[in-house]
Amino acid sequence: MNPILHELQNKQWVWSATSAKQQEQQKPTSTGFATLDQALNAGFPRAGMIHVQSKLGCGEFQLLLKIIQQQDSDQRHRFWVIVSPPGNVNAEFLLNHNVDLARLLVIHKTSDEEALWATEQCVKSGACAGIFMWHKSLTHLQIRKLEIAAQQGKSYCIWFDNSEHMRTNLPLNLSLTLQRNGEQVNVNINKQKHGWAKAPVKLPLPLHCRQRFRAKQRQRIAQADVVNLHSR
Amino acid sequence: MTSIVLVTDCSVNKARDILMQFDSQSLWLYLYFPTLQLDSIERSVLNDQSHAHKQAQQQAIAIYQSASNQLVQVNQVAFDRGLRTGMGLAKASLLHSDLQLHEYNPGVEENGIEQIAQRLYMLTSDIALAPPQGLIIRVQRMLHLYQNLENYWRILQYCLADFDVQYHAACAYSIQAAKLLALHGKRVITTERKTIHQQLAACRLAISDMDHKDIDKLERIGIRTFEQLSKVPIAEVANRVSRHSMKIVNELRGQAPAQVKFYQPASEFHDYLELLYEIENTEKLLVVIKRSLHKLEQFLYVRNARSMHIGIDLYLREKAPMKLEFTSALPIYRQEEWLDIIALKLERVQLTSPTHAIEMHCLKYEVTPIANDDLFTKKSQHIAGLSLISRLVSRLGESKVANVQFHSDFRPEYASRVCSIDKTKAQLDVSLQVDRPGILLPQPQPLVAEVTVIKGPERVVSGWWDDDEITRDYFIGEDEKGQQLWIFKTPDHQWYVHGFFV
Repeated sequence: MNPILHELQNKQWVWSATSAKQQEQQKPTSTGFATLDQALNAGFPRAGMIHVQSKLGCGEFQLLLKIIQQQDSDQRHRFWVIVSPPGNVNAEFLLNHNVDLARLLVIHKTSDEEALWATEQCVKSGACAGIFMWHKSLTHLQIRKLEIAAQQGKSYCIWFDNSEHMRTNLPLNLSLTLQRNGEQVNVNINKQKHGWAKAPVKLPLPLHCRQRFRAKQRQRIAQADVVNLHSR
Repeated sequence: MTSIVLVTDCSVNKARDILMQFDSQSLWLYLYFPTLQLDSIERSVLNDQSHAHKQAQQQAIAIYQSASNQLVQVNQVAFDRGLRTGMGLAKASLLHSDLQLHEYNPGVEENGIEQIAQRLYMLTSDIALAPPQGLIIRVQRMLHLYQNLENYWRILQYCLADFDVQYHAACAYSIQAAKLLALHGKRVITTERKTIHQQLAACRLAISDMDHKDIDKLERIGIRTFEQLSKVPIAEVANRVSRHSMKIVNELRGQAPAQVKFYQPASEFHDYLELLYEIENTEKLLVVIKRSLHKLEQFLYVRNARSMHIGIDLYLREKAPMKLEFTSALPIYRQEEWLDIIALKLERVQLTSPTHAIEMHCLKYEVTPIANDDLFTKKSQHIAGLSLISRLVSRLGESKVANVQFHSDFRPEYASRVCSIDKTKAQLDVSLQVDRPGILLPQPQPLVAEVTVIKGPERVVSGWWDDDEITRDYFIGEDEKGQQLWIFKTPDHQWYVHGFFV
């Protein structure tokens, strides 16, 4: 390379298209909740593994689906993959959450080994924006492998863990525990790469019918404050 | 020098089948490949580093023709042991007991000839096949393009070196003369008539294309070489030999036109490879397949084409051939990409019997449209996506990789369906029910835990038309652990869990 150009580049005076992409990559993805964003230092990391521990049916998938909705428009053509779900994936639910079904793959009825292989392939291919996997337990090595693959392919690897016991000492960059409490979900951040430990966050994650119910209630309260001047 | 082309067949459309005649002014090149089958066997050994291969390299190999009970080709190792072509089998096995014998198969050589012709076709226009061991090339027109014979010949040599086969080449102003020179192993690369004539003079007529009877007749009157033949008046010879032989004599003298049918490259790719030893392990098979893929890559590359589908037939010992099909989701031509797909599929293939030969074929390909990809477009990711799918499907099988589709049906079992990838249709506007669980159980399970009802009931009565009628009251319930369940009650008050609000 031209020595002058090289020097300029070292001083970072030259702007290149690739570095623009990198900077963009580092910007976190919003979680869709201001409180959780704050606790996670502005949101989920741009790529990598996210460990989500919860009981099956706490709204964990719903919460993480926000990542798809927060996606940039240039990411829309990338695939999302669901690996070994604990039952059949419901299309109606996904459509309710604005997921493009044509861009969604399901890998099911596989053995554990096949599921892990498929996950790694998807994550590192660069063609997937992320994968959601249900898996009982992963070893130290498997997590490292998936983490590196995810960074390489710039995609998410979201691991839904429905086991009871706490997992410590795993080389995870981000680990969350979810617990439903009525209409709210308590999010406990077990581990994250940057920043101090944060207090658990409570997120409202009600059913759709409840959302409407709350909205009506709010409307009613607001209307109660209005003094109608032209009342008969 | 102009050459007159007489088209004997009038239908110009059938250009392939036209027999062409030329005057005696054209320069021809004849390539003679004396040990083509042997070379193809030895070639399959070379470049491989495994122990078994190294052993095989030291092996004396001979090709044996059972019809004449003779060795027709011997390799260097065998030659050093005293084996010669023309020996009988008994003598050969006495000289060297460890000799590896292969039956002579003209099919292999014809194949080889065609492959060489296919490559040479990139460099030179008029090629005619003279199976099983010869190629005829019309040099005349190429001289102008390559400026002179030396340049042209250098380029041809360069191309032939890739095949790693033995060959003899000779030029002459008639096909028969060039052939006779090449069969004698004389290397005559020149445009000078005098030199050619001198070299031809010493050639024996015994190995020319003349009838054996006529050769004997001429021998009896003392005509053994071309020189002797050319001293006899032509009428004298014509009295003695058949019409066919006379035509050859005239051609040798440069007094009759040659007739050839020019080669047209095949429109389909076929590659047959005889293995040196039988292979039982699919992993080892990959090494061989890679060679064929390399040829496929070249085939597609020069046609600016890509393919989505190739087939490999494995010829098994004492079993019917195993036919394997490989499909890629997007058109590709590079051998690495194909190898990836093939390796994944072969992992799951069990060979019931050792393989002794493989054949690869690619019948359909498409010409790549010219496109200028720029670095930042999404196209590369689109391609990565398709290749990911083909990789997943080839390892896991089609049933395990799926899309989800929505159908307008009130029965949850029917509303959401899993379908294989290529059958996905675009979703039209659909009316959706809110508050549906993310995961549905394949079979509803009896409810055992204690739950509090949050929402419900929502009655679903549907499906009376297709014998899968359901009458259910759906509720959303939450148990004390915080799990939200989709539960239903049947008319006979049985409770079931049908899904989870993940």
